[in-house]
Amino acid sequence: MEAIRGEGLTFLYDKEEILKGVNIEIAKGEITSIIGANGCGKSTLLKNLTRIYTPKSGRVYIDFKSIKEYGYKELARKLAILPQGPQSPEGITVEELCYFGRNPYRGFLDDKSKRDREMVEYALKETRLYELKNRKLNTLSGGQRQMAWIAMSLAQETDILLLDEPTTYLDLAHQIEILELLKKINKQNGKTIVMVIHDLNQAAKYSHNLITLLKGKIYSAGKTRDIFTEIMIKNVFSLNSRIIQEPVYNDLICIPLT
Amino acid sequence: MKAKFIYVGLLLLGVTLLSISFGAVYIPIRHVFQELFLMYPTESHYIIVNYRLPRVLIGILAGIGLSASGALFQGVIKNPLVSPDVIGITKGAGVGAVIVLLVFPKNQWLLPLGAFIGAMIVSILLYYLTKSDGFSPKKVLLVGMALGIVCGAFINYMITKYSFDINSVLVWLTGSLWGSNYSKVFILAISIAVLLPLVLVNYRAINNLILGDEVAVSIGENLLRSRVILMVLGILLSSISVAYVGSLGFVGLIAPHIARKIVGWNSKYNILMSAFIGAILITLGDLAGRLMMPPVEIPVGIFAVVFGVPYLLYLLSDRGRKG
Repeated sequence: MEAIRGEGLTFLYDKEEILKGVNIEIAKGEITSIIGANGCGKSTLLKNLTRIYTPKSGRVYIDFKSIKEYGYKELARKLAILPQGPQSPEGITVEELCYFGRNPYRGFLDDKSKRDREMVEYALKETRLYELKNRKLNTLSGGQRQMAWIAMSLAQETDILLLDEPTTYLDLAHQIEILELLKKINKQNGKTIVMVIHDLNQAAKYSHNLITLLKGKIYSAGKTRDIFTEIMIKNVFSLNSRIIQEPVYNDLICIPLT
Repeated sequence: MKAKFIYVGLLLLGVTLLSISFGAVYIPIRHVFQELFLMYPTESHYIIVNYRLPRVLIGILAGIGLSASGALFQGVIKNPLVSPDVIGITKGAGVGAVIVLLVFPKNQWLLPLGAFIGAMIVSILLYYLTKSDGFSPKKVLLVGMALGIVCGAFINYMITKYSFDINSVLVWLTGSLWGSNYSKVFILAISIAVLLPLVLVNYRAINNLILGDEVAVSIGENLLRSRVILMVLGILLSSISVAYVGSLGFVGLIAPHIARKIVGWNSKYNILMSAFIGAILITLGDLAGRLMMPPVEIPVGIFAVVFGVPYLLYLLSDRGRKG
């Protein structure tokens, strides 16, 4: 079963072709990571699977329904995307931010519903921000702030969550905290998660599937075990490497060679 | 939150009473009370009803229009430097108004329409001239100011060439409450009464836009539709105000900043608060202008510039950007 399907996606940015006919399938209820070198179009591809970008040609289906047929709020109840480095208004609290995730469920002048409160509470607890809910976002550490944004996306109660480099600029402990949270949420709720991520070992450890992108085209896509190979690293990242298996959890680890 | 609005409301009331009371002719505050709240005619009846009251009302209404519109623009464009007066939109309204004055001198009711068309034209130009840079704050500011200067020059040219009633045109050059009357109060009051609630019920769309395009799309905002609706409302609010008090600069820039300091980021509160603050600022400015060297009146627009320019410079400085 697929949650998202993209067919023949091309996308231009300033007349430069960033995506060159990409076909992509995202498996439902699994974690998929998009990896590739800088400037290969990873983020662009992710945004083309939402309403943020509209591909120049090609089609996107969310749950077998063309993205164009979704209403704005209807799509937002199905799919959430957390962009890189989002901006927040000065002085907003963690809880206030989370309520933005409820926007697609609220009518024009509706007050907060019981469900809104429940979901915000759930999101705050999952991200371990409940104690900090009245803190202002700009007084939090980088890791907590990113967690707050993830909490907002969780409050959105969508089947699908896309994340653009969710761990960038965080220290290793916070990176793992976020990835573990995503893993847990995927396991518990079967949420489909797609992320763009730079750290190859983390991508391999936390993803069921990998999609590798090379200069605006799909290089390979499939189960992590099949995709995460020395040849792929060589061709996609122009890097010689050795891939070994961690003895306890059997995670694949890529070691760059000079 | 309610308490804050009550305090600011009381402050506005106080300023209003003072502004009716003081001027070239002093009116005892007792008379103002009797006239306004008890409908009890006093010896000051004529001057209150025919001079002070319409003037103060115009000031309050224009303050509401300019400041609510400023808060709206700052939210929608996510740019604290943007308000319709700083980026030339009100100057465009001024051009429209002056043309109406020239071509249809007898039809005062056309003024808001002319102002709106002028403001729209400048807004559309601004849109296309800054689009390529992704509406970067500095570019919008620079291009907007340039457009404002062009509009200002055009107004000057019109005045020189057609040498019509200099007093009524002076209004558009500096921004003044001079020559307020009830027909102006009436049109302005109805416009604000229709437009302001329309802006206020859209507060959630404004809040969503503040989070940036990508997050706004993710949580289901129809960017294009919301932007167009909100901008047109903002342009209407400011241009109609400008039609009657002139391109009164900087109030629309400063009031939203003060309002955010008082009630925070949420548009649900800070647009209405901006309206209150704007009304207070204009009323105070006009009062000061009448008191400084009577019987000469200093237009409120001059005060707005005196306080507004340093504030704009502060916002442009590094400290302002961080704070």
